[in-house]
Order: sequence, then C-alpha cells, then structure tokens
Amino acid sequence: MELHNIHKICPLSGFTLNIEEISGLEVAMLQRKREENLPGKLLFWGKIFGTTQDYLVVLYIDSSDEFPVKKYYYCTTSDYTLRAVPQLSTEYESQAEGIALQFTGDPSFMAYNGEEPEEPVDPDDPDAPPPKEVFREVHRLSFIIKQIDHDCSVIPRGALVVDATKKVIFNNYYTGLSYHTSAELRAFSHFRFPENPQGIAAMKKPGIIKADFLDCITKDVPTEMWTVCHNSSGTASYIRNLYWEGYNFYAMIGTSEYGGAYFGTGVPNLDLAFML
Amino acid sequence: MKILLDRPGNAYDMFELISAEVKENPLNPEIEANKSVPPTAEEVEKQLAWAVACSKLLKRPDEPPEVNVKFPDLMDDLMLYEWAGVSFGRSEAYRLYLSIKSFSETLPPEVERLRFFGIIKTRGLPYYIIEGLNPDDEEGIDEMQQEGRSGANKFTYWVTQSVETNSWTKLPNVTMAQIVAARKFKKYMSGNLDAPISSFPPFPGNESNYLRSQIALICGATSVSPAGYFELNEDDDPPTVKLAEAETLNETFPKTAQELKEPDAWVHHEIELNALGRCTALPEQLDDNGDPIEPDEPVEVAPPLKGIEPEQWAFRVSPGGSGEHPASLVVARSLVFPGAMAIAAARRFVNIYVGYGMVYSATTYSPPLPGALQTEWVPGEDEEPLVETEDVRTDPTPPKEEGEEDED
Repeated sequence: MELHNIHKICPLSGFTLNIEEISGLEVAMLQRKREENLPGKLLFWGKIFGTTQDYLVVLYIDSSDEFPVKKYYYCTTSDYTLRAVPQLSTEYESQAEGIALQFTGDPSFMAYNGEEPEEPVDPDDPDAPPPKEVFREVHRLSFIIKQIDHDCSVIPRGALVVDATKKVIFNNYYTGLSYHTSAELRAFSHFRFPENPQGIAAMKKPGIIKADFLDCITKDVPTEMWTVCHNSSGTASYIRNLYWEGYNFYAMIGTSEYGGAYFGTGVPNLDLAFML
Repeated sequence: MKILLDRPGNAYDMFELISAEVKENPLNPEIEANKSVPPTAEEVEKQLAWAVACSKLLKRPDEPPEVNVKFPDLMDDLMLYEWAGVSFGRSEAYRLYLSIKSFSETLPPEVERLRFFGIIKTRGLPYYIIEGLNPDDEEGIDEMQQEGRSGANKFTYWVTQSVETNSWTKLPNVTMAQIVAARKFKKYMSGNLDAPISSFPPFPGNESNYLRSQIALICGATSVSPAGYFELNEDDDPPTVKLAEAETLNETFPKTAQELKEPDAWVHHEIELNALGRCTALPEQLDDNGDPIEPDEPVEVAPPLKGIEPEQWAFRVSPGGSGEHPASLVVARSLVFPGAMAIAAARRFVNIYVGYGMVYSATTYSPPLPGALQTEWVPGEDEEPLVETEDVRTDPTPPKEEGEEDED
C-alpha cells in the first residue's frame, strides 16, 4: 500500500508505523528510487517484528514486463537504508522452511542450530575477512516475504487487466467495487502470476480478454482462512488472512483506492486447522 | 472521450479495453459517460444509521454529567500507543473515547475507574474491551470453583463490537474450570458472544465465557509496570498490591529510557493465574473433625509484584536511534502473548492488547489424547463378588376391582 495511506489500515490491523518509522521510510524509499533509477512504484509492504528490532519491507512493482514484476527491499528500524532482499538457492529455501522461531531482528544472525555466534567484525578494518557465506536471517527473511506475498497479496477484481498487446497492466479506468460485491470473497484475487490452468489459458486467447485470469482467493485451501467484512460505516471492505496472521487488506467501496500490508511476526499459524 | 481527455501513452490499447466494455453493456451508457452507479438501498441504510449513531455520540449534552467513574483519557494514551506502533485510526479512536466516556456515566461508583484493555480480533468484527473494578455482589460464590474480588474476578470487563451504538455488554465472571480448559486449546472467536465453543476438551461456557477467560489469562500474564509504581500493602494478609505513595512516586519517577530498557525495571502488578486457575490460594477445606485437609499436590500461587522473565519480553525505545533522549518511551512487547504491550514514559505507563487472544508457542498444537478407558471393577481380595439380585416377579393377573377404571 502507499505509505501515506497507512492510516487507512489502522482500524483493521490495530498496528501502524510510528512517526520515526514513517519518516525514515520516506527518506529511504526516495533515496532507493533515485539511486537505482526505478521507474515503477515503491509501496510499503509490511513490518515483521523481531525480538531486538523490527524489519520494514518495501515492495517495488515494475510494470514493464508481461506481468508486473515484484522486487523487495528491507531495512531494520535501527538503520533506515533499504537493501535488496537476496535471491535464494534451493538449499537455502529448504533450510528456511524448517525454521519456526521468531525473528531476532539481526539480519546477519546465523546460529540456528546452536552454532557459535561469530565474532563482531569492524567494518572499517581492511584486514578483516569478509563475512562467511552461510544461511543467515536475511535469507530466511527473503523466503518468508516471498511466501507471504505469494499466499496473501490481494487485488480487487478488475484492477489488473490484459491489454491488447497481451501485457498485464493496472487498469487506469478501474472504478472500484460496489457495496455488495465488496462483501464477497470472490471479488478479490491474488496479485501473482496465475497458477490456475484456466487463467493461464485465458491469457493466451486472441482478442480482448474479459475473463478473470488471476487466481481467486476463494480457491485457496481452506477458504475459511480469509475473512471479509465491512467497516462499521459501510464505506470500506476489510480482508484479513488467518494463516498469516497480520495480513490486512482494505478496499474503499466505490473508489479505486485499495491497499494491503502485513504486520506480524513472520511465523505462519500452523495450528489453523484446529482453530477454525 | 476519456482517451481524448487523458491522453495516455498507449491510447490504442486503452481504447480497445473501453470499447470492449462498452460492447458488453450496450444498454448501459453510464459506464462510458463516467457516471457513478447509484448506491443500493442497503448501503444507504447502513451508512446513514452509522452516521446518525455517531452524531448522537458527538452531540453536546444539555447539562454536564456527574462523574462517578473515572474514564481513561484515550486521547493522551493514543500518543503512547502510536509510538508503540498501535493505532485504531484517529477519528475512530475519538469516537471510542466518547463512547467509553458516556458509558462511564451509567456505571455505579464501585467501578472506580475504567481502563481500555485493548482489542481482541475475531473472524468477524473485533471486540473493543474496557476494564473496571468488579461492582458485583460476592454472595453465593462457591470459593472452590470461582474466585471473588480478591482473585481472578477483581476486574469486570465490558465489550462492544460497534463503538457508535454505545451498547457495552458485560462479560460474566470467570471460573477456575474455564481458565484451566481455555489453556488446553486454541480457537478463533466467531464475533458472536452467544456462539458455542466446540473444542476438545469441552469448554464449560459459550464465547462470552471464553473471551473472559482469555482476557483473564492475558491480564495475569502481561500486566507489567515500571518497578516502584505499585508497592505492597503490608496491612493486608496476604499482602496486596496498591499504588505507591505520592512521595515515593516523586522520588522514583521520572525514570529515564536507559533504566526502563532493562528487564529488571519492570514488575507484574497483577498476579498470574496458576495451574488451577487462581490468583489466591484455595480456601482451607475442613474435614468432619474440623481439621484442615491437606491437598495432595499443593499448587503454588505466584507472589505479588513479581519481576518479569527477561526472555518473555522484547524492549524498544521510541524514538530510538539518533532521536533517542532520556524521556523517550520504552515499549515492552510480550513474546508469550504477541500483541500485549506495556508502554512507559517518564511518569506514565499503559498496558494495551491488540491481537487474537492466543498464546505463542514454538511447537505446533496437538490436541490432547482422550482419557484412558475405565477398567472394569474387580472385587478386592476379601470381598465377595457382586451378585445380581433376582428379578422381582409379580403376578400379572389384575386384582379383582369393584368399579371400572377409565384409562386414556
């Protein structure tokens, strides 16, 4: 979601960023945008709580390809410099999957199996050896961010369309959902490259594509992990995910404004089946 | 028209999209004319009802109300919450404050003061919860099943799901069995106070009882305050917790952020519920002779004003980093009940909870196994085995009766 709209998600999530974090992120996002010359949109993605400090994650959407490409940047609350989230090898991915502890907040943390914590290295010392290439918390962070985004990133129906050149773009003429459609889960889809075979086939058909090609969130198993309700004034629709507790999405009724963010520990709710 | 006005870069592609939409709705020119669809009757009704209810809250009363019960200054606390990263939306929070204020005018003076406990989220609308001293009568409470005002039922809680309608429902008092059962499973609440809780082991009560048990667990485990704020009242036996004297407070506070960042600067000011679901010891049970019965496995009660366990709490200083100064706030975030926070700054502190009410456990939940089957009764060595009594046989012929009886 846009950083300046963060107050819209407060009634739903209960969590927000404080002034220090917003101010730090504004600066960091502008700096990253200009340093790397990013033409696309930089959005606030979420905050992952750790024991010593928290991670703030920013999402960059690049609409130049066939499907919008997402890139993630993170920073910690002690140092507001956005760094790109690293790519993971399959070995690191399987290692990350096995960990269910809370995040510590230190991106270079590596003592997952009771190993010795490494000696702190003075960054200005020219003789210091470079840090070892080993599975660190930053890799786990990368894995979790991608998982959460894959499972949770929501977009209302009609906001993404396939144009005549078979490119998926944000619909400039999207007018928003109506009161009744916004109360139903099937008006919302995943913002990711479609995984359902009908969607993939629909994208390849000649001519203008009117069918819904994105994965609808009602197709997730179990459907009950998504809850949708209106706010008390009936002007916005709120969606929450119960598997990744802390993912919140809002869509204003009748306008094209919407956004989602994750405020949580980064640990999925594996007991979901018992809790429903 | 839209294309001419907007002049997008890919005008041809945009035109294709719009033309396809128009072709789909040949009878509805409104879409092309960019007129908005009129709202449905349901939408109008809901939004109007909300607006009317809120304006009642915002209306200035004719005469100033009596202040029997102190209501929390939420607007002041909001600043503390926001530094901790907690917010309910500023205008929503103001309406919540008005609602709590007007509710406090209807309460008896025994409640003394209200505190905003926090929100517990559900699968539907969240519960906004406020806490006050329990004004209920203690007559008729079975001390073996339930504690009174000296224990787990010291506070009573009111909840609402819609701040503007100003209808706060009181939650029932909690019993020991409910606390013990609530610890054994995890269930999302549905958002309806009368809903049954289908769980294993079975929970003795409905959702309002379950909500009350969760609140009791959270309150017991995460009510912490800076050391020195509360002190022991030695006059009572066992010693109870009371607010420290004004002079002591002036000496100890204000504390700097450096001091508050350490775990030993914090204490629990509410007693944590023990394994039986109690804060105070079980009352002594007397047997027939008047001698006290010792329980087989006495369960300890936690001492008042206990220090906190450092591994269960994470501390943050806000503003931190380069903005840190001695009067910075310190936020203590619970790692056991994620969402429970205590925020302290100079002379003030608040406790708040935002979450689903669940405990964090590093291992996944597995339901308890069903109890062992009961074995057949086997007679002891010297006892005779049980013998089934003979069936009583009666003569089925009816006795000779003088009159007839009508049977329906």
